Amino acid sequence: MHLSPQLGETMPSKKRKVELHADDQPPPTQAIMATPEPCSGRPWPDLPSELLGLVLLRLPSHADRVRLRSVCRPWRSSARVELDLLPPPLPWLLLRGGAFITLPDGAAHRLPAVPGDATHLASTGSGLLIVHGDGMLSLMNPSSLATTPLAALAAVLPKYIRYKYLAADRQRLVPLINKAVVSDNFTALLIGNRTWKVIVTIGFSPPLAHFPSSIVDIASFQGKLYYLTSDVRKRQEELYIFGVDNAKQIGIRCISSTLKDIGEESWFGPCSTERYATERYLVASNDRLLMVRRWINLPPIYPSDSGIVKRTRRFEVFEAADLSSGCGRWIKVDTLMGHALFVSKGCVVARGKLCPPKFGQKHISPKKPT
Amino acid sequence: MAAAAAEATTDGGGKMIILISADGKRFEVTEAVASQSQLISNMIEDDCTENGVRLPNVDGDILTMVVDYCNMHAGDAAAAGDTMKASSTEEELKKFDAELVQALENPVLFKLILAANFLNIKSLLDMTCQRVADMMSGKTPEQMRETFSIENDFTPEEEAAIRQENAWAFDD
Repeated sequence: MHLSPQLGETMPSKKRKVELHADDQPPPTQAIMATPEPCSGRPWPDLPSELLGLVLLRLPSHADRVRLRSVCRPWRSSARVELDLLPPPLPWLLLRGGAFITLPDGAAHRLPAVPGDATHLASTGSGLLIVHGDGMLSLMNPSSLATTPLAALAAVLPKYIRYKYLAADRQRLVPLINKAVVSDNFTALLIGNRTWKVIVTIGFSPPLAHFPSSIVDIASFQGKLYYLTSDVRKRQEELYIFGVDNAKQIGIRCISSTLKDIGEESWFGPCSTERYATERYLVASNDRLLMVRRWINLPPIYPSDSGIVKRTRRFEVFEAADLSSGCGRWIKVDTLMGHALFVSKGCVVARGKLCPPKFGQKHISPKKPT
Repeated sequence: MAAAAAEATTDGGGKMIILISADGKRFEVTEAVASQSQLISNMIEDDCTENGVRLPNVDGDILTMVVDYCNMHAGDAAAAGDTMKASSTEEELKKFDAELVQALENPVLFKLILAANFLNIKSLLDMTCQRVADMMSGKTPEQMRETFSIENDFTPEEEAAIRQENAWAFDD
């Protein structure tokens, strides 16, 4: 034992008890129950489980938590109890080739057991959507490696997508799946490239492929599937709830707004010669449905080989309000209340105290929009 | 720290109370200082501190550290009651905390966590748990065992199975 030297002696519990009884002071007015204190030089396995929980709370890295669980039996069983009570660890950032990066340490790992015929990978927040070479789809839990086939979803894929795009090039993972959303009631994919996009769903009756114009993102929020469209020419963004009516897909519009409606173009001068492209993302964060707008600065001369990279200059976050009224609106948000948003073309997740997803992908937005 | 009359009043105007460690060491502190412990604060409210507060599972050396900590932090916790004590500036406090935490080693750190939890001193508990987390972060299970003198009680088969389960986290 390495107790502080001024005591000059160690204090085994036996001796302590003797002293307590020998003490001639009157008994305490209030009995204080002592938690059993291990007196060996190796007390750490006996760290009470709620205290191990407090430590785990301060280990946001998924990898650290996994490794802590494999230190000894008592920690393993304590962690099992505590992990259910903790906020989820920081997400993994999935890279296109199938490797992923754990946060906050930034270590790269290989993804376990991705089937050899996988042509595409997409994060769904808590799992990994795999597109196989034959056009079939499956969902993998990256920790347990349990795989669920999604035959029904694959069957809905329009044939030309299945054959022309998904199964075309087995050697290369093409980011054709823009986003995969899995909720209790439905699974939806946003598939496409710059010129066309399609939402493919199961869980709605009947399963459908839907081709709204100028769709930019989808999100699952409070049991419903939302999609966002953006009309560049009209500078108009519209938010819809996806639904099915009489075997036909419909979109119920809940927000229609132009840039002006939400006080746009004020942050860079009207006389500025700078040009910007914007990307938009839908994120469900706890009980809020958020739209993130990302401003990417385009250099004046921008041939693709110029070596000049596009730079993200600004993120703006808006919260959907009055969704059920039919005339909702976006309200600018100036705090994410301690949450971080992870946005990319492939997947958008919100990370914070109560959000369940485990997988993120690529870009990280600042904690607070500025 | 002689046994002063428990009812004595002091410089700051607060009542003094006596804390008695497991090994019988006595510490005289103001109520403002002691109230940082939610446990003692509740006892003060319930009026059961007259004969001293006996802490049968906190060693004298650990209680010394706890009392030092509470004395340093009495300023921010109880500024309303005792302006004299508020003289410790924020930088001093930070320096004190940093030095305290850096000096913590096994098994003192372990005992201090238990004491902070038992006495219910949130800031001290936060600080010590953070220290443990910092000592674990980025380490392999074997390094964690070394750091905290923990015996590997898994059978080789169990350990292999555990590693298999999350192989990605162990690719050193």
